[in-house]
Amino acid sequence: MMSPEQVKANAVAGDWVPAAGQLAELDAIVPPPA
Amino acid sequence: MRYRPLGPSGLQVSVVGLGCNNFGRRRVVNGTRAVVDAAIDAGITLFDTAGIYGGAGASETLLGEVLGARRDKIVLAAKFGHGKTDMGYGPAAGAKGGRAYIKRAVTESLRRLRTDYLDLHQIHTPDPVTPIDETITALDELVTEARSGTPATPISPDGSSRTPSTCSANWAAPGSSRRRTTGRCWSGPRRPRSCPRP
Repeated sequence: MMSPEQVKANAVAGDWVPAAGQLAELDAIVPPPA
Repeated sequence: MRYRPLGPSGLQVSVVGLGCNNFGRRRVVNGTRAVVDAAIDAGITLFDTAGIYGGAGASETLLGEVLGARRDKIVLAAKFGHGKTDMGYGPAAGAKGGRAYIKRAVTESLRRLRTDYLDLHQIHTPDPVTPIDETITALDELVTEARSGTPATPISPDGSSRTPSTCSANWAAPGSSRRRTTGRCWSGPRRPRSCPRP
């Protein structure tokens, strides 16, 4: 169930800018489209 | 909050959006208001809803009720034509990707959302019956009508065509200064037209 607290927490995640290493980890999990 | 362009639409949206499928099913009006308030306070501007969310338009109804004068602060995305859900529009509306159904669906969404424009209107699931060109053309007509302020061919709530003099008052409020409907079909072959914010 969605709560205001969850919305606020998710909104904070919107400010996250992945570093190069983090992007590489993400690409390893979900490869970018060919 | 960071913001970025929504494709070539001219709209700017927050990188985090609010999915509104909880509204109506798990969240009644006070809960909906608390979530919407938190989202707007956090700078979220992209709100995504659909006719089927919450069951029979309940998400749109609750969202319209709690947004009130804040409607212009958000980018409102709605969806129509979910393949497995009957919205009760009746046989006159026809196939869910068809012109009559799309116009009936947008009329009903506008009424439930208490607004006179949608920022984004998308088909929810592909319609295997209707040629995609008809769907895209109908969405393009909505955009054209929103720009001109005059419905090209008004459609009454029962899905049938009417003359302008008998057009439903719910039809996108002709004459509204804020009227803007952006048609877009994600599975369509064409890119949406640019539709900058006023």
